[in-house]
Amino acid sequence: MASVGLRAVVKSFGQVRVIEGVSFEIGDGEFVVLVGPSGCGKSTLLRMIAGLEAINGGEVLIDGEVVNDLSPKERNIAMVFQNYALYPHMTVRENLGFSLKLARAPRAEAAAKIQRAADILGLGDLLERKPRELSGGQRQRVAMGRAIVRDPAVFLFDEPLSNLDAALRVQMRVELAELHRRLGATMIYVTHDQVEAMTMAQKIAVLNKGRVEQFATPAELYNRPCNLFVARFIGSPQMNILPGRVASVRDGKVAVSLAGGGEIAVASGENPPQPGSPVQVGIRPEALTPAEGGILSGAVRIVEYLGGLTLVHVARDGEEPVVAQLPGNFPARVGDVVRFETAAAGIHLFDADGRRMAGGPP
Amino acid sequence: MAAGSRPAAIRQNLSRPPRRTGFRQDKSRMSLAHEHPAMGPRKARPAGRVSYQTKMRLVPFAYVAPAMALFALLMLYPMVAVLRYSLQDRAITKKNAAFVGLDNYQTIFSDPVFWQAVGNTLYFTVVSVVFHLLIGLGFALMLNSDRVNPTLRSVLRVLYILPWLFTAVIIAIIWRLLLDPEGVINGVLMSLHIVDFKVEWFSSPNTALHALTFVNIWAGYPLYMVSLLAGLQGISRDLYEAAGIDGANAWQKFRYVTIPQLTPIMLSIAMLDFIWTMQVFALVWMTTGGGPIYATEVLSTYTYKQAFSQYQFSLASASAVCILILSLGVTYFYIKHQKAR
Repeated sequence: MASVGLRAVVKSFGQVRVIEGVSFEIGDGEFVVLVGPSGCGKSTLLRMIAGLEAINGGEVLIDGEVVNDLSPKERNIAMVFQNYALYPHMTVRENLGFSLKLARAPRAEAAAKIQRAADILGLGDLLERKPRELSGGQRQRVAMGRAIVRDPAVFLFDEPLSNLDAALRVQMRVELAELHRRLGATMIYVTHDQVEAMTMAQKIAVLNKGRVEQFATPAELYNRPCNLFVARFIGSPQMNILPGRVASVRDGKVAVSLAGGGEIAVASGENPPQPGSPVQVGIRPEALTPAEGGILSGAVRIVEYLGGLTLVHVARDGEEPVVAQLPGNFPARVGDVVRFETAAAGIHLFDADGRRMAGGPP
Repeated sequence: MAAGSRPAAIRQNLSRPPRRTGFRQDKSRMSLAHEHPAMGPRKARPAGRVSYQTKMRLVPFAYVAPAMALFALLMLYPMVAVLRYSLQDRAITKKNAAFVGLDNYQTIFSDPVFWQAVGNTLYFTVVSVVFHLLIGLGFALMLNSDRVNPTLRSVLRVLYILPWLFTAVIIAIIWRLLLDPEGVINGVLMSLHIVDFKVEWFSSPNTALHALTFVNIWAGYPLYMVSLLAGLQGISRDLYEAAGIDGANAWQKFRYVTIPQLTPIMLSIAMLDFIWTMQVFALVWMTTGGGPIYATEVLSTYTYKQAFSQYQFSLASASAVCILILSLGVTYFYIKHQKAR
């Protein structure tokens, strides 16, 4: 169990800077997810914490100690790889016990640790099998077991569920959350899937092009995204972004006239915008409700029926289509004209550069 | 039209226009009568007609036939002939050579030169294979290592593979010159005071076999190097990283990750090399000719001399069959190993 700190960490491959001064702190026992699109540097960051990549600037601390110059085995970490990286010629038992064998741990102690890991992950029947005789999910469990046996200060996961099918991924997410609850260990998890991030993390770092856009709890990211990137990355389907212009600022409220017609009002934040300045209005699909006098209207283009929900894509003349998330029994048909309204709490305001200005639930 | 009536006319109809099978246009008169919708249920095929199914089954054999014919003519027939000669008395040289059972084998088994040849062959083969493996593995590791400058690696890759480019004749000539008593090697060794006289590498019974083995090692390691390098590059980097996190140092990574992954390749190549090295002829013949005084006599040179110096074709055949049996033994293990994979 240990805290992990990153202070202005920089990484370059030759002339190319891939990590640009990342800083955040992870508390003891926290489950933190690094999430972002492909190429944002999240795996590189994880590997720098692990010691598999050199650190070109800044410091990485584990339990308050700077570990920049320590090799992976000296950092007391364990890593679960995307491709499992199980030793193919060893049985499951030997895979689990390899680190103990290298450390020359006493036989009885090693056997006990292996058995404990096997019990936690349900590997009891598989101990004598070789990796090629296991399914993807079983192999991933063995990889996790190998990490558990080491009893490390920090667990590192590098997109461990990417190679599994959808149903198995859902199941393993729950198991991982259960594992964290049971072990209470510090876990750093890398994924490109924001659903995994939202469901498992206590805190999420959203990365983009080597920078941390926002480091906050899932709720904070969802309700108060600090910029357009985070607002669009978190939440599925994506937040609708509508360009507009500030009509007036009065009585603590900002009135925005939307391109394509309609006006909405949002409670202004600490720095109210200038009237006439261009802004971008963000409305999550689930914040749109159908209403007769709604300000947004358009013709239904696509209806995606998901059972409990329906996603309705509405085209507006000359403007970006808007996606609304409605209850599953909503009778939308292609071609119908629908009108939507949204509560003030569901509107997010971003300035022309994409930074958050106001809006969101209080 | 009633099925079966006027079969000749129907047959004619079917052969015009030519039918296109999915495979190739069948312009022959041997069309497939039962495909014609008007024919009704299948009747017994008239003699001379080959069904489509049978033809499809025979097609693979047709493709393989030329190679099989060559194989039979150039390998199978001579092998059987040699086997036959080995059981005859003075085959080829005598007309109507008599069948004498295993007499020829008894003769060569009681020839001390034969046993010397067997011993030399085994020494030559085993030492060659072992050092091929060690050198090939060493160079492959070096060429795969990140610690070596990439430019240097490219240069070394070319240099290390050079021995492979030479044929046996060239190798023999090069090394005979190098290992000549007045040659370069002796010159260097003497100036470094490692030896203080001109060693007669190929002419002395004490050193000839070792010199020959050394030359064969030099000539044969590139195959191992190339195969093992390919094998090394196929090992996932993740495994080394996982081993590093588990606490393995460089030697432990080599022992627990590299070697187990390379073992199948090493075994395959070693077995093949064993079979090939056992039959090496050209190199031995052109460096030492099996001398001095049988010091480098190997089974292949023994067989050759029996046949083309002594004209004892039956004895030579017996010796050849011995080589065959030894090779088959190793081949059996090779095939078993491949199947297990």
